[in-house]
Amino acid sequence: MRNIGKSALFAAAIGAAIVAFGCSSGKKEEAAKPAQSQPAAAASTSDAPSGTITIQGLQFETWDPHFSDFAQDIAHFYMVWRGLYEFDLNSKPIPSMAEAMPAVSADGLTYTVKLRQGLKWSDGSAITADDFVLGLQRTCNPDVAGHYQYIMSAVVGCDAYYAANGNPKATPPVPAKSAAEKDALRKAVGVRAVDANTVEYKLSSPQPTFTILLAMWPTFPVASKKVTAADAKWPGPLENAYNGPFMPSAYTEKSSITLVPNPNWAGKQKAQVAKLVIKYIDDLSVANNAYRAGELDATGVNLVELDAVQKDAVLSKELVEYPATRTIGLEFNMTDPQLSNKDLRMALSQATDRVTLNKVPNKGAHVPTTNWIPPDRSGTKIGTYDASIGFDVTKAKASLAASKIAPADVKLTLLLTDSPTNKAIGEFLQSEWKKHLGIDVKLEFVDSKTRSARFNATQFQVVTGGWQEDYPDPENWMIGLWESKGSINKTKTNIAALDDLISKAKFNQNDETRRQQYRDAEKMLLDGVNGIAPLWHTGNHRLVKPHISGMKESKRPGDTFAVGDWNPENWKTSKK
Amino acid sequence: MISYIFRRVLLMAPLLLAIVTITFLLMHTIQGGPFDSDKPLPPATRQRLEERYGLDKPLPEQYVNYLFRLVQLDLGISLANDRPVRELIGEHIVPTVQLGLTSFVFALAFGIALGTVSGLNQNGMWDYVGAFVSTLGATMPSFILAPLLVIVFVLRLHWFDVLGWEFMNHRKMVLPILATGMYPMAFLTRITRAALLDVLHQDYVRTARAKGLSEFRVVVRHMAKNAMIPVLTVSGLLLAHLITGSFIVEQAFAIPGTGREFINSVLVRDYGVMMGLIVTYTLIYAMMTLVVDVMYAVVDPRIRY
Repeated sequence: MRNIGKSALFAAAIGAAIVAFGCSSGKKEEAAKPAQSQPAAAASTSDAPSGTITIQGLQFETWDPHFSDFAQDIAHFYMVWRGLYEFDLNSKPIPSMAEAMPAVSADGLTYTVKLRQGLKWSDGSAITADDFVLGLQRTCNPDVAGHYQYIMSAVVGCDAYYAANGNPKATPPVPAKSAAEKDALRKAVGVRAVDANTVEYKLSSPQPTFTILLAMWPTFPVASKKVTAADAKWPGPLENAYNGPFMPSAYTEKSSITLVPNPNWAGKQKAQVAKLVIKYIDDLSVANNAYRAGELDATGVNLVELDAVQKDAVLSKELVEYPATRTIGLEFNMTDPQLSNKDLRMALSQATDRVTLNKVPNKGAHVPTTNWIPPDRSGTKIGTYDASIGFDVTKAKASLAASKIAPADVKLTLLLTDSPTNKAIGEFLQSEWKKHLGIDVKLEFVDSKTRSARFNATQFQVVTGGWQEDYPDPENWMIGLWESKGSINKTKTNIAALDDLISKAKFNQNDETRRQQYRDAEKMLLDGVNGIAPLWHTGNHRLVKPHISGMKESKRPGDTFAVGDWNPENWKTSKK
Repeated sequence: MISYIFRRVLLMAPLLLAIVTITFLLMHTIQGGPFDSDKPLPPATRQRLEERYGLDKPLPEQYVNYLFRLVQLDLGISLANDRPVRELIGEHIVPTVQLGLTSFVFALAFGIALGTVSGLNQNGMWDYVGAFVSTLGATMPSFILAPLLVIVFVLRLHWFDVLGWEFMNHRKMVLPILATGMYPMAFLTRITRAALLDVLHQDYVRTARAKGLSEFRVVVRHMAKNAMIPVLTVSGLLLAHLITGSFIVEQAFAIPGTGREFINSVLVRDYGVMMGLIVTYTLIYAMMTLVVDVMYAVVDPRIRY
């Protein structure tokens, strides 16, 4: 018994030591915290920024706006940088660093923009027209390898500079340009500083949406004190200079970033919170627990728990739901021998009950649709295409009969990314098509990268996929995607009349007729279920604590990880 | 002994080469590359990106380039966030090693203590307590234990935080340590108990008691020392396992460690990070095996190299 006592005592002593160590050290840390706190908000006037908002976010992949195309990166960029223009809450471009809307030449090929007077970077240096010139040159620079260079193709010389590294795989191989030739190509890019306060852009063909592009990250300026040349390395969060409402004051990769107000932000609405902390949490179930525990003030909702959140007396009041600018559907390989048959595609679309699909496997998270372009962007009512391609068993059977393919002869595989929700979606579609059409469809689940590789190589028959808008205009839902030679047309849709219509709309300077042309193009695309049968518009589901204002009010469909994340200067907290 | 250690260190080079080669080949065999995403990239952009990271070169050339850089301790660039892999691993390994070491200390302290108490009281109440605790720890995987701990200690009792890891802050340390250390603790309890029972009736133990030594000295100096060899064997590998990170625990508490980084690197095909972590893990495991072998000789004078 004595032995047991000693051993037990020994074990207890170790345990107590560990707990005591943990507790005492925790206290020490708490005591040390004030010394580590961020610079306090300037004055205690009612207008001074106050309080802290902590939100869930995703780790950015790169801090370089001229390189990135990742949604989480872009949301960060809008917190700390702004372009000549920015988007208002209706996604319309309005002046930001620019004094006014651009002066556009009669031929639509020259855009001249005056900067506001007295603009400064967060480090106090002046913002000049040269900073915007360098910004666009970086996007067109082949060594930066910007993902979004392709949207700047209309700028004179941007494509030529981007191709300066040659293409050894082409037949015949295209040699790389020399350093001197590359520099000449850089200088030939259609952007120049007319004077310290005026930037001029030259286009090779008119682009009615060019002002929108001047509100986007590929055209953001560069603090030339920090980045001296188009080839120079892009500084990290704590080394860079900023012209947006906030600037980073602390950063730990994969953990968090802390933003504080930029004293030189020139916007009308000054930052209203003293500290904005973004915690990087990719698992929403963890984030939702942290929100419940009070460690987060705003987070995305884990869709698996959506119904529980909707039923929860407290959380349901803090839930913000609104549609995102994302459409998901069944994408068809138009070169597949069976799927090139319009009636078979039509039958599959008409045999899909989108409402039940959304209610059951998707737990009501999205908005069922037959539209491709979200109604906010196209001006077309949701449900416009229900009568032609929407759920209708009688029509589905008739379409299958018209395809002249017997149900037993239909050999299709539906490719999906492996996830519990996608498993449910796949099984739902499989059973729907079996029940209504009598066809057996195989399901193939692969990891996300394999699915993307297969899609990019057009190695699929049917895949669930779609499009997330890059910029708020219907052209972004058509150009490149559905023209027969579109660079990202992976379904190999090939309709000459559609090509013609898109190319007309692309250069049409009359906004009203241009938008109508895109509506007509969407109709042409969907009436034949060419390449896509839309299923749903993705929903945004966020939780926001009641002490925060300005978030919900600033929401836009493009929000990536927090409500109103492109206008954080509007956020405010009453929590002290 | 010195020459033995030197030989073992030298043998790590072919081991590393074999692992790097196999990983490199497997990595490039699986479908889907770093630039395959839901939103396809235009061919020109893809080409520029491949140039930027040297992926436009033929595979053998990429392999030779990697080895060339590796001997200079350059692990390349992360394709997912455009930073040097060495720098990245250096940052992420800190919380992982802190969590691994503290969990190891927890597992070792409680595992050995509980195993000793159980062994000395075979079939007694304390033995049943030990059996209960170790069975619980062994049968509850961390993907169940971690959320359970969060529900009870964070959401109900508000004792600790869900998010992050902060060394010396008990609110952020206790739950990750419990979630990581419970299984090794249970394992060490069983091993210690079994080893102790094995030496309990040995002649030298009886002799020690006959000499009139106190029970404490018998247990600590005669029984525990000999019972430690199997514990030492598993401890070395357990430590290596713990300091290379747990994806589940790091994910459950949003800890920016290498366990999470490794799984993510595979999912996003971040070749640089994947290779860098494999190299790091190989070295850690090889070093720990060597340390365990050396420790055998320290604990047991009969073992000599």
